[in-house]
Amino acid sequence: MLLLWLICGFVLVSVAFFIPGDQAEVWPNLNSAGIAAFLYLLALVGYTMRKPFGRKAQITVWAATLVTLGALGMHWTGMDSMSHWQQKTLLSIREVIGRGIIRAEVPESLLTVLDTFHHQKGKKATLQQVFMNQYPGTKVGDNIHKPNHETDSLRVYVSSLSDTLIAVTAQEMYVKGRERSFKNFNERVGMVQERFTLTAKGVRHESEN
Amino acid sequence: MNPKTDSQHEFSSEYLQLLVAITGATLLLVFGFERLFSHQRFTPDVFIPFPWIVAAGQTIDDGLQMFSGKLPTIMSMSHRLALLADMLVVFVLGPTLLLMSWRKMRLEKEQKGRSSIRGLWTLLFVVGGVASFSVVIPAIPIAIIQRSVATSLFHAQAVQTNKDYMINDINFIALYAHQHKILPKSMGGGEGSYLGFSASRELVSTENGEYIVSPSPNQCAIKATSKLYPSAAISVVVNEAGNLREWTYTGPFE
Repeated sequence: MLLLWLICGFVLVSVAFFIPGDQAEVWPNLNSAGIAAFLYLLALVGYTMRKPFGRKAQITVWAATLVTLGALGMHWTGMDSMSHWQQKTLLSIREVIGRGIIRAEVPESLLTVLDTFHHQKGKKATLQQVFMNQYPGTKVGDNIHKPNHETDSLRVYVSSLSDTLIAVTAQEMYVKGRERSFKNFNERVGMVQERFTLTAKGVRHESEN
Repeated sequence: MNPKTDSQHEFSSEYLQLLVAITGATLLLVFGFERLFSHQRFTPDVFIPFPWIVAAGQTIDDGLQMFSGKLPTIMSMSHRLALLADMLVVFVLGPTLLLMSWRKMRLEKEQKGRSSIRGLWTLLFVVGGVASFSVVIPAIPIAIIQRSVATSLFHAQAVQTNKDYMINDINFIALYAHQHKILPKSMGGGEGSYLGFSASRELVSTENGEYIVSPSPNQCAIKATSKLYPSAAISVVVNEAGNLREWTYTGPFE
């Protein structure tokens, strides 16, 4: 009988484990096997605690089983939800960092252009000429951001260039933005993207994704 | 059957001694295990009585991978099988050996007989007990600790998120303050001075906080107070070059 119960338990839990298939995360497999194990344990306790065990022993074992399974269930579901929350939080922190870097670095370079533009002496150069002095040879579509470190994934593309207006589009290469289907400047999809437009009156900001 | 006599059978001194021995062995095993493997990362290569901790570790690891722009790792089949083996030991093998051997010994006692393989049943009872109690003993404390850790983590993260968003808001105010200093008076600017700068209504009151801007000729002070945690505040100064300096955090932001 012991062997039969063991075989049934192994088969039941193993089959349940493989039902969700080979998914990226192992949670669906574990959860499915956990439900099967829970049902198996209830059946096992029900079977083994029959007579000749007395009422006191039955109540004690059932109570211990249910309290333990309840505590394990709480821990299990708590770890499931908390680890997913932590994963989501990590990604949202990365998004905040990405936007923070964009908002701290990109407008600063445009304000340098604006400062130079308004403090010219003699013959006045256009915004575009001032910008080109700062970024020689740049044309629309070029990335003007020099990476600060190996994993720096920020791109700052010149999206519009004229005598009176300069627009740059700052984009993260792998940090997801608000809309997953948003088409980015460089054809990627769903990444953080912010646009800054410089005119003689100053910088205008637009958070695109 | 007399109920008193019946319960005396189930909780006999022999049985209780066995139970205490199993609990002691389990505690030794748990602490020994912890000492042996405390320096290792959670990997399913070693037996872990709580397989969901490995799954949680993988989920967080995936988050870190994505944080760094890498693809999440997919757990190999051998690791999945190791997790399944943990599940089988904890939820099938242990309880089945414990309860079935207990039942067998109880039945033998009832029939007043002594089986020649009683020693084997006792051994199975001990093995099953160690496997089961390694999960049962810590189950309730870890469930309580986990809830309390989760609550404090959620709170700490909510405070940090509010702080991050407020720093972003301050960056924008600083940008427009610096821009005001650059622009000539003919365009509404300060022409080399922060004086006259006032942030727009959308900038001084966002969903994250309230911002008070105090411009002087060479610098512009910004005092931010959180809307979610009123005792939390940030003070910072935009210096002459337009850079943010002298960051001060108070209250929960400290």
